[in-house]
Amino acid sequence: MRSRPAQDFAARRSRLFDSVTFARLCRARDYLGVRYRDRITLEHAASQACLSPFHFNRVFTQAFGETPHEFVTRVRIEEAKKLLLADNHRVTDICFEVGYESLGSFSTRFSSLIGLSPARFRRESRRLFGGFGTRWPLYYIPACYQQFFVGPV
Amino acid sequence: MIQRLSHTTIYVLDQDAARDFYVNKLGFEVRMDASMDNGFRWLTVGPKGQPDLQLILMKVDGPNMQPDVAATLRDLLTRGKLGGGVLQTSDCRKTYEELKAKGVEFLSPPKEQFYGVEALVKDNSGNWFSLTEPKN
Repeated sequence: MRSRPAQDFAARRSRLFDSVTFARLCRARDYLGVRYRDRITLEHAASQACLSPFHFNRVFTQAFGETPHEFVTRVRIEEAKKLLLADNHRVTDICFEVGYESLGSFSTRFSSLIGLSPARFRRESRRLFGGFGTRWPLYYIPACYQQFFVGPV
Repeated sequence: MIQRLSHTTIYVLDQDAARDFYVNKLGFEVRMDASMDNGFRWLTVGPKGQPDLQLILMKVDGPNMQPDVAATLRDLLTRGKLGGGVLQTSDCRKTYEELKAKGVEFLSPPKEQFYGVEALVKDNSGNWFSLTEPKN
C-alpha cells in the first residue's frame, strides 16, 4: 500500500547540484507542493526556478528523482490517503479536495499508484486499524516501530 | 538482498525543537507528523533531494520507553556520543557559512579530506553529523 517504489527515486537521481540551482529547484518544488490543488503549468513552475520549461523538467527529475508532474501527483495522492484514513469524507469530495477534476482520473491514478481503489484502500485500512480517529497514523508506522515505540493506543 | 535504506531513527530531546531545527535550519521537509491518543508522535523529516528516505525524530522518553533507557539516551545525546550519519552537499564551505549564519553549531569547520571536504555539525539535541562535499 505504498505509493511509489523507492528505487524509482534513486534510479533517476544522478548528481548533486550547485547550491544556487538546487535552491531554485527547491523553491519551485515548494511552490508546487503548496499549490498542489491548483492546475499549474510546467511553464509557470519553471518560472519559479528561473529556468526554461524543458531544462526545469530535466534537472528537477535529476535532483528529486521524479518529474514535476509525478511530484504533484504523489503529493495529491498522499493527501488523499490521509483524508481517506482520517475521516469519513466522500471519495468524490476528497478527489476534488486534492485537485482532481474528475473522479475517474483520480480513482485510476490512485489505483495505479497504491494498488487499491480509494474506497477499498479505506475499507482495508479501517479493517486493519480499527476505524477512524487517531489510530490512522499507524498506517505510516512500520510494525517494528509500533512494537518498540508506540505501545498501547 | 538489501537494496535501500528507507527509515532511520534519530533520537531527539524535544520533537518541536527538533522539527524546527531540521526544517528551518537544515532545510529538510516534514514527511509525516501525526500524534496518537497515547502521546506517541510519529515525526519524520527528510532532505528535499531524497524523497525516499525518512529520518524518524524519535523522542527519547516516548510512551513505550523505559525511564532508565530514556535517561541513558538523554545522557548519550548530551555528551555528544550519538552520530546521525553523513549529510551531502555540493559545496561544504558555502553550506557551512549558510548554516553558521542561521546559528547552527559546528564541532569542526570544513577540512580537506582524501574523499572531499568535510565539516562536523551538531543538531539541537546533540546528534552529530558529517557534512561532506564528496569529490567528483
